[in-house]
Amino acid sequence: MISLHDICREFQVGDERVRALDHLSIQIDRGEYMSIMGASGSGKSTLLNILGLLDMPSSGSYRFEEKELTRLDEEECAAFRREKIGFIFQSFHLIPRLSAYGNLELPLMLKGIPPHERREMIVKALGDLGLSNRANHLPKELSGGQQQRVAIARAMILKPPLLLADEPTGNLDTHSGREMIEILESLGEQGVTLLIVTHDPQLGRRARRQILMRDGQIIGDTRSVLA
Amino acid sequence: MRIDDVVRFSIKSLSAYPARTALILLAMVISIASVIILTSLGEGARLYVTGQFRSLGSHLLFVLPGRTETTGGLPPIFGTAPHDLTIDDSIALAHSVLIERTAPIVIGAADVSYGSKEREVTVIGSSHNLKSVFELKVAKGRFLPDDDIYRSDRVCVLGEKLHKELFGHRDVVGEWVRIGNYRFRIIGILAPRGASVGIDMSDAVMIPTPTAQMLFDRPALFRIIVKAKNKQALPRAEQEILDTIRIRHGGEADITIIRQDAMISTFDNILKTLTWAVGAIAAISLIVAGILIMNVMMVAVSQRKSEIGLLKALGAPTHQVMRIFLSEALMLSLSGGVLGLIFGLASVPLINYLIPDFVLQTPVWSIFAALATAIATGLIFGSIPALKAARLNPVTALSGK
Repeated sequence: MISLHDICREFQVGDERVRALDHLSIQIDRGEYMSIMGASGSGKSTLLNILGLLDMPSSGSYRFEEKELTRLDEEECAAFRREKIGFIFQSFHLIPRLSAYGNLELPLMLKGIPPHERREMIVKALGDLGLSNRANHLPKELSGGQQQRVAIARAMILKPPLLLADEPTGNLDTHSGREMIEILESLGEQGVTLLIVTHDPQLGRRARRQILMRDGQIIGDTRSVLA
Repeated sequence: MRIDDVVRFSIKSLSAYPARTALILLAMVISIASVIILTSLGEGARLYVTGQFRSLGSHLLFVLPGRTETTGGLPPIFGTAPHDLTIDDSIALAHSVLIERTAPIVIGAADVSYGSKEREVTVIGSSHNLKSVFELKVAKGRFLPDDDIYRSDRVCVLGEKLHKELFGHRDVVGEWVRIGNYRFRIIGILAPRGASVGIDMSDAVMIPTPTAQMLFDRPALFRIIVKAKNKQALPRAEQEILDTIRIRHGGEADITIIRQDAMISTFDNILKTLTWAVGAIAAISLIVAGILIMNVMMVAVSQRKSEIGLLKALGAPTHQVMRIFLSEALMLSLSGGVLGLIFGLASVPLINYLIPDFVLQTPVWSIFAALATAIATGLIFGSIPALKAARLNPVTALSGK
């Protein structure tokens, strides 16, 4: 599904040019469950941002379902993110003044889905994640685990084929973290391609494919035998 | 994103910071209300002044001696001319079917004294016709006699204000008063009326034309006031006056004719411009309110960086983010504008109630102008922060840095 070829990403930091991704190539198949691990500054977040089209590579090619994405303009990138990608962030990124319902409504509004069709979709998405009785709660009235579940529901409400999670358990306690992983894995079983960037080796090792990064390069790509 | 969604989203954002939103609204309300009140003031002044001119009477022509050409540049207010205007000219002009009547005018200043009181006042020499030409009303006694226009009787009619200052409320018809070096019998007192532009009749004393010519030792008339039959007759009457004077003054029409309606329209234009000017001055406060909006929106953009990043991650294109922030600015300015309009329109009758002598009138255009400038303020000052938000890099925005 995804093919990155010879991707470089350079940043100008002061007088220095820093290469966050260094001639990186990788193929990702549909339905894969993959973790990306590595130390801070290894380039794993940059890779995730490029996969999510939040960032553009300095050079190289990014093909998604046979379509070259590096030549898309801003507008097309936005449309691509809207249709194809769900994001999950370490800090949830819920809008604090909107209820759980309102936060789930956001991607539907951006896609221009009429209000009467939204309701059903939101109610179902909240129900799937056990949040039916939390629809009218503001994020600050929810626990960390509940907030992250709202965020997952938001990411998945338009059923994108690719889910990108950046440290999804980073701000959660062990119990909520485990719960989160189970939710993500169940999504993976439903056919969503799942990419998780994490520091947590336990979480990383659960993935069927584990990528290890250092200095902007992939230094390990192992597949779990259990899979 | 649908318009109603953008609006709902903006309302939620604005209501998340109620104090800040209220302060901006206040600034907008004050600006818009002052535009409305000041233009109402200007329009009120315009209607007041033109109304005063109209109260001089209708269909009037003022015939002045001399022409711009013969007086050398300046309009001939105290013009000198080869031929004086005379009482005979005045009578001759009245023969026309287009002209209802004419009144000769001689003006000067003289000391008027009664007992120990003395003051200098405007003395107007004229005829009985002045009463109908200027639509004067007599409170006591009668106006100047209409028997013989050439008779220099020593009689006078006092303006209402002058009467009050010299005699208080005493009925003095039939008594004697000294004007200059002569004694005059008081035959009438004018009824009060609002101040009029030009000559203040209430602070003047009126005497017959020949008497005034003798008093000031001046054979020429200051001007002749012509009252035409109707408005339609004015242009032809003007031409006929020129023709008559040309015949009487040896082939030269050495007069200047000022039409009352021309004077009104001149003042009308001046005061319209003035109204625009005060409105524009008030609009400057809108710029201040606009800068306030811009400042607050700038703060909002920095505070909501991660939200902007999220919107972009969820697939909002640049123009969408721009629209969201622009709509917030627009809603601030527009609701402030509408509130200001209501406040301004409500305070106009209040001011009129408190200051009844001077009536404020809100011109219709100022309502539209106020709303239009409110919208423009929101668009102009909202677009800079909106553009800043829209151009944020999603990665840095999400990190909140």
